[in-house]
Amino acid sequence: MTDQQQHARFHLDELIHAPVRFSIVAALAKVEQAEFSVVRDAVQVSDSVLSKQVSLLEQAGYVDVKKGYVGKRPRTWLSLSAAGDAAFQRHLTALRLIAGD
Amino acid sequence: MSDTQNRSAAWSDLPTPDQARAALAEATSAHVVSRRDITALTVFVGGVGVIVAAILYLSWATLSVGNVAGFAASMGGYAAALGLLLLVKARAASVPRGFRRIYNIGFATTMTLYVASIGWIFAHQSPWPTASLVLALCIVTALPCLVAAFVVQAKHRVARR
Repeated sequence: MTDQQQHARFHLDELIHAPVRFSIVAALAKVEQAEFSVVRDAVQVSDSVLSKQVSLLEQAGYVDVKKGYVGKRPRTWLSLSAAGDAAFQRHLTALRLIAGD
Repeated sequence: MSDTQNRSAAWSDLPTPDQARAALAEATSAHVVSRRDITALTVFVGGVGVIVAAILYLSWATLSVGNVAGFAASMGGYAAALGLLLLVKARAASVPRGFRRIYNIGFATTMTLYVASIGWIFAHQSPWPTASLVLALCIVTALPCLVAAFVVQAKHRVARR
């Protein structure tokens, strides 16, 4: 492996690094699954913004989206996929390197 | 070069050390799980242990005196209680990481103890085991789920610190 490949930037994930997406992934990294509304409130964004960002993460295979009902109430559950978790851990490792920790 | 490296190699504006530290702090402090979620999940896990123990006791209490109708009624009560617990669990809007593993271990152990206990009780019908002995078996049967419920609570407290 060359020095260039070992540089922290190779572990940073552009998709995750965007502030809102980083907050979404950081929140989902702590849970097995969470309701859409809970993540929206935690990240403090609108439904449409969260929906758009989650779609991008879902397309990348980082987030799984599950729709269902509790009683008659529709619910959307979000969870971090194994690929998303691995990418997030790599990203955190790179951030630690940059932070000098 | 992998997809990740391709995507990352395009970076020209790396975060500064301060920005990286701020992002790491956010990742550490991110909390989605509420006390209400933990309460719902704790009640669910502990409740499952209690109703499995209850059905063990009621099976002995009814069948040891030949009360088949009473046994059927208690099974109905068990199903209703389980349905209620599932509704309680559904109230949790988020599930903390590790919950499924803790629940599975607790539930599997409780069910193993239930099967062993019920098998032992019905293998000793003359005379039937005493109430205090069956009660002790019930407590042991419920214990893994109750411990799992405690672990769910404790892990949440630690995570919040």
